[in-house]
Order: sequence, then C-alpha cells, then structure tokens
Amino acid sequence: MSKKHIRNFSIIAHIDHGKSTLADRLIERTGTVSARDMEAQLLDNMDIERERGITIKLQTCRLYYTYKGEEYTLNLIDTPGHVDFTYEVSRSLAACEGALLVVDATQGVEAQTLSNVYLALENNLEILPVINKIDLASADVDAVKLEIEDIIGLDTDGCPLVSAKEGIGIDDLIGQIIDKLPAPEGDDDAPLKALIFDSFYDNYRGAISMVRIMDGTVKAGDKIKMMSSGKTFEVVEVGNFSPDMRPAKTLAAGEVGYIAASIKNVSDTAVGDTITGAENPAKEALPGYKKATPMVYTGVFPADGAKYDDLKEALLKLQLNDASLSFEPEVSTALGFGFRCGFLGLLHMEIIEERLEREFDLDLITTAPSVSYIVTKTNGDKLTIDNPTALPPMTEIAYIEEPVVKATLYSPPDYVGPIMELCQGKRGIFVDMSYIDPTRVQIIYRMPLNEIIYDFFDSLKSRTRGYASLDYEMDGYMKSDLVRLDMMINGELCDALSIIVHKDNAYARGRGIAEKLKDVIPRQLFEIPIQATIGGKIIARETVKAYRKDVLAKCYGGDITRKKKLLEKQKEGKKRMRKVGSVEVPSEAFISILKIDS
Amino acid sequence: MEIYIHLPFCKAKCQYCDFNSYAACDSATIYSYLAALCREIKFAGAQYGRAKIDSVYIGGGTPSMLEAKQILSVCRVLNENFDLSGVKEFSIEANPESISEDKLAAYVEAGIDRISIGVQSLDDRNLRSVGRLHDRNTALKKLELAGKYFKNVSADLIIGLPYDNAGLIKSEIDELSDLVSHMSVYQLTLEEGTSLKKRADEGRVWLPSDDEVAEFMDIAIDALAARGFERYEVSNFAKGGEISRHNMGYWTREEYIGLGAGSHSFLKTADGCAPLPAEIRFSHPRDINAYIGGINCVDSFDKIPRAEISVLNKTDILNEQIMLGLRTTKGVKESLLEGKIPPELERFFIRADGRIALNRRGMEVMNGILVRILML
Repeated sequence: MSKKHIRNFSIIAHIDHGKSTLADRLIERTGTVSARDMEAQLLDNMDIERERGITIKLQTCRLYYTYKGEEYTLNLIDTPGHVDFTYEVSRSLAACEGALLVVDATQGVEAQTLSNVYLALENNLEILPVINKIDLASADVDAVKLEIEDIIGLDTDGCPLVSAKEGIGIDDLIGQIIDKLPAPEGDDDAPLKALIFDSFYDNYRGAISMVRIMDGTVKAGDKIKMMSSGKTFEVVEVGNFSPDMRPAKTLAAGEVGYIAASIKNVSDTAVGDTITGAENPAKEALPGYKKATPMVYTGVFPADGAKYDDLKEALLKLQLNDASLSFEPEVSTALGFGFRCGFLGLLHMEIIEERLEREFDLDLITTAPSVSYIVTKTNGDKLTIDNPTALPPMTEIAYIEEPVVKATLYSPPDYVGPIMELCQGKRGIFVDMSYIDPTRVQIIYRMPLNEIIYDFFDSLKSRTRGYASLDYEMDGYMKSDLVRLDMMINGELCDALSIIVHKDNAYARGRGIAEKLKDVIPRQLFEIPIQATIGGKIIARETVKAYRKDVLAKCYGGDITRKKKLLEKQKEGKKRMRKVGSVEVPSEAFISILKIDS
Repeated sequence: MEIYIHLPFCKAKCQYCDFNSYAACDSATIYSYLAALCREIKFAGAQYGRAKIDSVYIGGGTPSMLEAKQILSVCRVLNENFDLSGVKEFSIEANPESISEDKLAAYVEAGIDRISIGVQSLDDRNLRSVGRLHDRNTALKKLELAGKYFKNVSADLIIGLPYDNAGLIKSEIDELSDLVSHMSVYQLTLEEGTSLKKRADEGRVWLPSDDEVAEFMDIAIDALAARGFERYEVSNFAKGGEISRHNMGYWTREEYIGLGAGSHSFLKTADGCAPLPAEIRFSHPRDINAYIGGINCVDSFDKIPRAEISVLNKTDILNEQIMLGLRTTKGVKESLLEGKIPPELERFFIRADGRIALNRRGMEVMNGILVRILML
C-alpha cells in the first residue's frame, strides 16, 4: 500500500461534543462494521464508558474508503475528552499526522477544545475543524465558526458541517480528511522504528503493543528489540484494528497497528518506547512521552478486610491496561490493610473505583483524596507526602508547598460573579479575564490543586447551571500555611479521616466533618465524643448520644429461636462496621466526609 | 414441664401485631382447628401424659373470642390426656371486648386461675389509632369483672403509642394498679410487615421517639414500684409475688410443649420423641391449614411435621442461659459470665450474692449488650 493512500488522524474535542458518535458514523459509513453489528459508540467498549457517555481509553480503528476512484486506508484514533486524560490524548496524537477538531455547534469552543488544540499543535498536526450537531435547533454555525477563527485561529472556510447523530455531511468530511490531512512519510527500507502509543494485556497473546510505524516494516517471525530496555522478542502476529484485532502480513512505515510477540509483562511494552529490529536496529529512539504523574491520591480499602488479596489482584489487572494507575500497600488502624492509589484526576479515581466494584465485585472504602505535598523539614530534608498520616509533626516542619494549577474557565458572562466567588473561596488567585465574544468569557485562576479535587467541579457546574467548562494544567508549587486536621472518635485518632487543609479553612472543615460524622455514626451503648483536632488542639466537638432503646420487649409463646436470629442479624450488621477503639463506624462515614462544602 | 396452647383467632388484626393470628376466620375453620388441636393434645398426652405439668398457658390470638364451650372442651381434652393435678398456674389471654360473665365462669370451671387482659392503653385515641376494638370504659369494666372471678389478673400495657405522654403513662399505671396483681409493660416495636410500620414509614402516624419511649418506660417503672409492683423481668411486674410462673419458665429454660399453629416446644430429654438425645427446640408451621393438615395426616406425636427443629449444642445452651437469664432481675450465676464482660460494659451490670444481672440502664439496651457478650 502506498503511503499517499494512508491517513492517520485523531478526533479531539471537549467532552460531550460528539467525538465518539462521529467515530461511529465514520466506521459505519466506510462499511468497516456492518449496520447489524453497530452498537452505539462502538469504540467505547467499557460499560462505564457507554453509561457515562465518555471515552476513557483511547481506541483505534482502521477504515477503508474509495475516493475519486482510489482506495484509501484511514486510521482513526479516538481519544478521551476529559481533562484527566490529557495524557492519553497526547499519546494518540504522536501517532498521527492530522486531527479532527470537533466543536459542538450549540456550545462553541470550550476549555478542553483549546487544550486539545494546543496538544495537537505541539505534535505538528494538521487540524481540520469540524462543526457537529448542526441539526439541532440551537445550533449557531456562523457564531461557532467565528469563535474557532478568533480564539484558535483556524480557517473555517468550507470546513465540514456535520451531524454525527443524523449522519449529515459524513461523505464531505471523509473527502476533506483525504484532501486536507497529510499522508504519512517514512522509509520502508530504513531500520524499524515503531512508536508504542498504547499497550494492553490479552489473556491469550500476552502484552500487545499498539504502534505507529515511523520507518521500516515488521512482520510475524521478525526479531524485535525494545529500545529502552534492550529486551528482544519474536513477533508472533501483526495486524490492525477494524475495530477488532485483524492479523495482517506486514506493517509498513506510515501504518498504525498492533504487534504481538508473546510478551508476558505489560511493563515490557512501555508506552512511548520505540520498537526496532533486533538484527538491524535504529540508531536512536523516537522521542517518547513524559510519564503520566498521578495528581490525586487516596486510600482504597476493602470493606471486608478478608478481600485484601482480591483487591490487590484487581488493581494489578487494571494496571495492566492503565499504566497511569499507581498503587502501593497502606495500613490504617481504622480500615486495616489496603492500598494508597495514585490517579490522574478525580474522574480517573471515580472510574477506577467503579471498575473495581463492578468488574471485580468488591465493596470499597476510600479515604479523602489528597495531593502530593513537598515538605521541607527544619533540618533541611525534603519529603514528598501524598498521605496525610505521613506528615511529620508540625514542630519538625519548616514549610509545606502544595501543587498549584492554572485553571481556565469558560462561561457565559452571567455566571462570572458566581465563578469568581467560588474560585476566591477555594483560595484561587485571579490571573486574567477576557471576553471571547459577547456571549463567552474566559477566566483564568491560579488555584491549589487540593481545592479542586474535592467538589470544585460539581460546585462549578451547579453554580453555572452546567454552562461553565474547566480545564487545568499543573503550574508548579507554592508555599502554603497547611495543617493536618485529625478526627478523634471517642478519644481515639481515626487515621483514615485525617486530611491536610489550609489553616484558614481548618475550623470550618473540622466543624463540618464532626457534624457529618455525628449524623452517620449510629448511636451506641455509650456517648461518643467526636473531636476535630489540629496538632492535638481541639477545634470542634460533637457528641453522638448513647441510645436507650434496644431490647426485645416481648418474647412470645416461647419463640426463642426468633430472638436468637434477631441477635445474629444484629451481630452481622456489626461486622460490616469498622472499629475505631470500641466505637463502630459505618463505611459511609469515611465516604460522607468527602462531600462537605466548606 | 409446661404446656402452651395457641388459639390464633382474632376479630381484627391490631396494627402493630405480627403474632401468629388471623382475623375473620369462619366457624368451620375454627371448628377444624380445634379438632386438630384436640387430636394433637391426645398425641402429646400419649407421649408425655405421665409428665408432671407445672403450668398451662392458653394464648393467642384472642382466646376469649372463642365461645365458652369451646374453651371448656379444649380444657377437658387436656385434662383427660395430662395429669394437671400439680398445675400451679393456669392462664388464659383475653381482650376486654370479648370478655363476658359466662366466659369467665366457664374458665374457672375449666380450672383456669389466671387471666391476662390486653388493655394496652387507657386512652381512647391510642386504642383507636392502633385498631384495638375496645375503649377505656370497657377495659376498666371488664378488669373489675375479671377481678370477681380471678384473684390473679394481669393487664398488658403498650408504651410508645401515638398519644402517649409522661402524664398518661403514670395515670394509666395508677388506675390499673388497683385492678390487677400483675402487669406486662411492653415498649412498642414496629415490626416488619405490620400496617403500623407501613403507616409510620409513610409518615401517616407519628410515634414517640426511642428516647421518649425510654423515658416513658422509666416513668412506668417508678410508678409501678410506687404501687408495689416489682419488676422481675424486662417487661413484667408483679405485686405480692404474683409473678407469671409460666413465662418465668421460658427465662429459666423449663421444658415446654407448644400445641397449636406456630407454637414452639423446648425439650431437654430425648424420651422417644426427639430426633437426637439432646436439647431441642421445634415449632409448628404458622399457617392454620398447614398445621391442621400436618396433624390430620399422622397418628402420633413424633410424626407431626415440624416447621423448624434446632438441636442445641453446648454453646447454644450457654448463649440461651445468658440471653434468657439476663431478662430477669435475678440474672444468672456470676460464673456463667466470667471473663465475658468487657470493662466498658460493667456499668450496665449489678453483682450480688454470686449472681449477676442487668441494671435498669442495661435492660434498656440489652440487645446491644448481648451482641457483644454472646458467642454468635
């Protein structure tokens, strides 16, 4: 196949702008999958993806299309749209020459539209703007075209106008993909250089690398070498996705496909690594990717302590296909054995938790999310702390630095007030505000990440009726007056409830948590004091009163068995509780404190 | 050994009731039931006729709803098949609206010497709100009438009804204390499947909170004590030593045979009927027709189909001794609980003369304590 008949492209968009629907339509229009086998949002394989209507993992699919009498191969790489998964997007883009920038004709340019455009530009991609949802009554194509030209600076003259849902404009779009996006380059005869942009584990074929061949060719039987580790393997199969794995004779420069080589560990197929020939290796590797760094950490514990091994097994399995998930063992006095997990963001965290519960049938207790702090001790030592319990005593701390993000928000002007109030309340520092057009404002704040990971996104959506969009990027660290807030239940420290907060918010938060705990901890045989403390000093107190009525008044007609069963049931209920000292604390208690507005 | 006889018939089901009772049964059903019951009594007599019977209790349902002659014939069959000469207490349950002078006379004739009357409240709004069929005046009148026939009259009182308040509880006890020698004071429990539970869940009836009910119970206990009623069990109070021997038998693990639908039996000896030489508890199906069918298809006590049978091991027996014994103010032998009470629970117990019992606070939260000290 000649390279000029290949197009490699991604679809990028803000979440909900219709990426996956458009991908489906392209697959359907090119006859890659028969209408009979079409499932809505074909590339979103996971139940969670379909239910939430979001793409989490990048997906790839090869399409065939005859245009002006010539047959073309189009390699489509679908990408996630959520801010947590920017990393996945950047990986996909490195395998492409072009990108379709999908913009919702009813919404216009949003926060992630821009961040994805910047990623595409960094990768020197040709960007083809596509205006979607033109069939909707509220679509304003001209205004959106203007926005794209003004904010992004792309020419929208003659750009494809489509409705992915209704199948309008799809042929024109495919024609423009072929006409406007460049064909790949590369030398089939040069030593093999294949960029691993993703990998996953297949139970039968082992770790499989998804690659873009930059130079050379690869086929079954070839000896290959991983350039980072020098490990060599023999290729068992190569092929492409359409969208199932379909074997091919060879993969040549410019093509996108997969390589299976009986590799046992996914870690041997590191994303960003370059595969080359073992006998005729390339001189230098392709520039890889920055490693994804977790931004949010949380303790994940099995609700039933006996399920620790199951949880470990499940995390290992998820990690096989999601290298951005990190975890290490953690022990809590209240929650027992579990894991400290690192996630790319809150959505990533929610998705992993949901998958653990759903796909592995685990009941979990998670602790408050934390970010990674840099602590400088009085003796000059520097520590990185992602678990509040690991924070040294305040007397040993010279200062603490916390991660900061640059948050970019887009909103109709009506909501500027509420947004600023929200950001201010979350310790945000105003950076800039500008009108994109009369109906949209861009607001930039510098904010502690710690404040974003709680309920910022939900608060933003509720204060702006869902109109505002948010994107953020890491923006270094700053010194902050941070303290560890501890909770004492009946005089015992409950480590799983400790959080690191800014001193100014500590009182409000301590009160909020104490009140919440008072509501969720059931009354017991004794009065239970709940105290919030900072460095041993009590800042808030609530009391769970002892209950006074828990007796079977009547034991009728000698029915002793029933009484026994009732007690057994009561005992069963107790087993689901966590013990903090002699107090029984229900699992919800640990989760409920995450939902406190301060 | 004790005998319990169950008569599961009521005119109407009270809203809080989840006992084995059926409203509006036709006379044919009642007739077949009594026939099966008498057949069972005969089977039981063939098996245990020589046993010494200490007490008999006819419960329900509403036994007083049946005609006088029906009770008389059940008692006659009982007498023919068991040696009742040593019976020290023979109780029957009754509701105020169905008590009559001829029935009371028949009970005495049948050998019954104690009557337990379901008063539940002396407030008409309370009585109406939970579907009781009598009113305050009827209750007082019938208690007085019962007093003419029985030396030993007991009244049931429920605490935690919709219109309860501290003053009402105290006055109820004051009024009743002159008419009875025994009182059972039960805290209202909302049982699954009852219409009261449903109404409470739907917000159609407002009941006092648990804390209020505990407070009312405290008031009741003090009022009872002031009138000479001594608490001898979680819910039971007696004047002049008139404790219910039969119920006391349950707490001290006396053997008993339950006759009738849904009734429970407890036997410590194998004696030909038990499947294993051990302590066993077993019960009848709750359903009236299942019970009748079961009795009519067999020809001896040991072949009667049972709904549940449990054989008690050593742990079960110890658990029962604690769980039942702690219901009484006498408590259990201290040795039974040795090493089982964590220090933080000590405050709920009193120890004296080698025995250990729950104090008033302990009785309020007995389940929570048991769950911590039993080997479940």
